[in-house]
Amino acid sequence: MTNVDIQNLWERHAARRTYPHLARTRVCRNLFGPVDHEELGCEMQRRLQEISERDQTRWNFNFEDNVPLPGNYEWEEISVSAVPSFYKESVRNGKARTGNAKDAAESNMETGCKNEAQSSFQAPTSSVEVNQENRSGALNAQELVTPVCRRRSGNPEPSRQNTTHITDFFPKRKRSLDTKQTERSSSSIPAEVTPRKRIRCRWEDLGVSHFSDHLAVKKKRPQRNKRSERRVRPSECHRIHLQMSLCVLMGVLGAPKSSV
Amino acid sequence: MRFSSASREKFRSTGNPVMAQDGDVQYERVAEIGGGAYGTVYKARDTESGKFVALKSVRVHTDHEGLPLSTVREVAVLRRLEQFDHPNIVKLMDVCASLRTEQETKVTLVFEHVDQDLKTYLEKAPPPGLPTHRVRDLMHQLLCGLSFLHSHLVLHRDLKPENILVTSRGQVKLADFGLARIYSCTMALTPVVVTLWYRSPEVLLGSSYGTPVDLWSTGCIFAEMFMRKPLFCGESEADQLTKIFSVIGLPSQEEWPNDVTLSRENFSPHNPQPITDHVPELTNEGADLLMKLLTFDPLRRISALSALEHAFC
Repeated sequence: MTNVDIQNLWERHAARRTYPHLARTRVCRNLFGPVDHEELGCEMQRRLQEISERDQTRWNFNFEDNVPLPGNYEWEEISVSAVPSFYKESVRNGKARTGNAKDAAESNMETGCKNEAQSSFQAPTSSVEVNQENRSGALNAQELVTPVCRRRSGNPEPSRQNTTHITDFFPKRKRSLDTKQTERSSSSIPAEVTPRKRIRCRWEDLGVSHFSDHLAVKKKRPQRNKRSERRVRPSECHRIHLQMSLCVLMGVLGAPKSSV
Repeated sequence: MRFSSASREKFRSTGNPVMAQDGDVQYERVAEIGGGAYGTVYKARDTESGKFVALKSVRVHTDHEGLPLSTVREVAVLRRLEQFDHPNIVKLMDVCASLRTEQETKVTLVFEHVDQDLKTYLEKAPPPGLPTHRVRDLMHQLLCGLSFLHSHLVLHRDLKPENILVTSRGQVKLADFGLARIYSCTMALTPVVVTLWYRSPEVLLGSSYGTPVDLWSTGCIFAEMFMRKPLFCGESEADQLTKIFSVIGLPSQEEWPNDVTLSRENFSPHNPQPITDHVPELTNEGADLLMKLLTFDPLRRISALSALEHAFC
């Protein structure tokens, strides 16, 4: 997959000039040929329009403008004081996701939520989770917890033979990229920042260099079994977990965001 | 309280984000709030079935990548739970998303309409308070709903009388779960003070937590059903903990979690008091259940399923 030929590289450079905003935000492999973004955008808009029209007909309510329409449902606008406060409108700031958790409680919340979502969707990160709730798996060990969780909580330090860690792939992958890099450097093509390097740059920019330290420890001292000696603070656990999830996500989506 | 949030909303208007300078304060124009005046909710009657629905809208800030993945996940969890049609969970009829502006998507959740929550239900209860058999029934339904959520690995995390709905027939329906992340973000955004009264010690201390947090909240609500006023009304995290320890006693050093920054020495020593001093209406079984719910150590706290098998329920 890493075997990117010269023509592809040039194509990518050309694409970056055509879509400067994409060049700044994404690194991607062109697997399926050029994409007509305009057409794709139109198609998306059309689909969304179809969906909202269906919703509007079903409920005879215009959700976009918040206006009732004539139909089966008799709508009335009532004061919030007349209904349970649960129905009150709420705001969600998407930006809050990327911000650092202000206190431990907040970071706990995030982890908790993550855990819920991941356990319910069996995210591919399950084998490398080092998050809080895993650490204290017993907390969630209810009578009806799924076997997946039981296994995870019962065996917090799985042996390396049985479980493949995402980190296992890192040094190997980096080496292959490095060799590619040296091969390439002889040619006249400007050296491209590989996706992996970009990711690392970004993490370090964010002040999370300890993640790579964490990897380094593993790489240099693979024989070290007593990993519990390295006490990782809850907030670090959370961060490492987030970063690992990021890796998997980027592995799946193949599109990490470059540093801002 | 309402005024301050309403006045804040006035600064939201349609169009591209513009920074409006007003003295030292900067307001970012995000988007117009829903067509209706702020502070109203849409409710409808289905003329075919005669049932009522109500809309809850959530405004989600989006970027060029669209709706945050976490929101999509949360909605997916809600829809998945809906398929089980649990009697003690508020019905979610539909989820409709509409793009309002480039920066904002409005997600409208169509829920069944229930006209009161446990808070108003308790306020309406005549002076001697709810009879024990009524409390038992409410508790049983509440625990049924909770054990359903927990068995599906969903934490409520913000269980309080305001989001426990009680139908006119006395049926309990849990609401407001699964969107917890939305509210954890809302906390920082709105001037409304988020209540700490039902928060468990491990959350207040910033320790790791799981499903037992909801059982702590259930304990506080259980006591409130008899008292018709909250059991622990703290004004800050520390005050809330102090109030808790003054009733359940200061936990021993062994019980104190290792992963917290707040040390046990910050709190004055207290011996546990008989819970019936605070909730005199409790029967022996009720007192036993309450103490099992208000257990400091989350690992020793009773689970929803075990609580359903308790002699009181």
